[in-house]
Amino acid sequence: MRRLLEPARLDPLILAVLALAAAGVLVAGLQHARLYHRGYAEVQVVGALFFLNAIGSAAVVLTLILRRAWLFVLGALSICVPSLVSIAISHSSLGFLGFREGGYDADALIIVIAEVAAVLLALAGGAAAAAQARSRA
Amino acid sequence: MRLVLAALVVLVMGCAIAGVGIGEAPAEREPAPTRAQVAAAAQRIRALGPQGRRLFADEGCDRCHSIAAIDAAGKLGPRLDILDEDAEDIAESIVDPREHTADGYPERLMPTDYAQRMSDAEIRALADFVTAASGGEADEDDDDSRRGRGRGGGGEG
Repeated sequence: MRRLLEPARLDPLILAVLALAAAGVLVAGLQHARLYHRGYAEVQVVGALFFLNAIGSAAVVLTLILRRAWLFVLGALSICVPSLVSIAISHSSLGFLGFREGGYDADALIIVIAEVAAVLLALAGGAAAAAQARSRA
Repeated sequence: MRLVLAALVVLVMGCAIAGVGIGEAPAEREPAPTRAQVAAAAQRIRALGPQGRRLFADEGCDRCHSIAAIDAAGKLGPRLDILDEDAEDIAESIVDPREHTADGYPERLMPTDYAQRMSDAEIRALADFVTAASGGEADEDDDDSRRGRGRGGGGEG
């Protein structure tokens, strides 16, 4: 727990990987905020989740700027993975909380690409940071 | 440097979350029906029976479409209470929405599997409900058109 809240001293390369992950989180958060105001606000529960995604994304990006790398990795995964799963379910015949979408348009694809990139980069950056921490210990 | 970056993130995300410069949902550009139109639609819907209205809610149509008479407030798709289409056209739009996407709306948003999920009778009931809500003409040749289309996945008949 303490490790999550401590400022991390990272190699520039690891920091660059995590910064790219943060860019992915930020793009997905911006897109969720945009879609919220362009009609999703009226979709019960799903609209509120879009709004929370945008706020959460901003908060997660701020954790990296404040050098809380572990908190950032945890936050990025906590936002992007459920979001990707929800998008997949809403595009299936099951629907997500009663909401179904028929296909991936440009708006959805931007979110999927940004969040997949954020997850992969956050995992890679987190793994590299862990290896760095072990070698320093 | 960190402070500037943090301030920039807060500013950009704050503006996006507040909706500054984002615009509005396409449905908000459409005119709402008058009070008299809403009252007339409510009367037609009552006269029609509950099946179409139930299907409208069960299939999640109200998440994306507005019908003031039943307090459906979706804004992702076109308003359905100001349509100028008959029941046959509406049924075709339900079954094959890609062929009938309204201008200015996302082309790939509406699911395309209603013909598999619903029986022909259900699609007809839903189309009649939307027709009643919009004040369009109901299809009087109901049974013939149902036989002729031959769509549907064998649900309730």
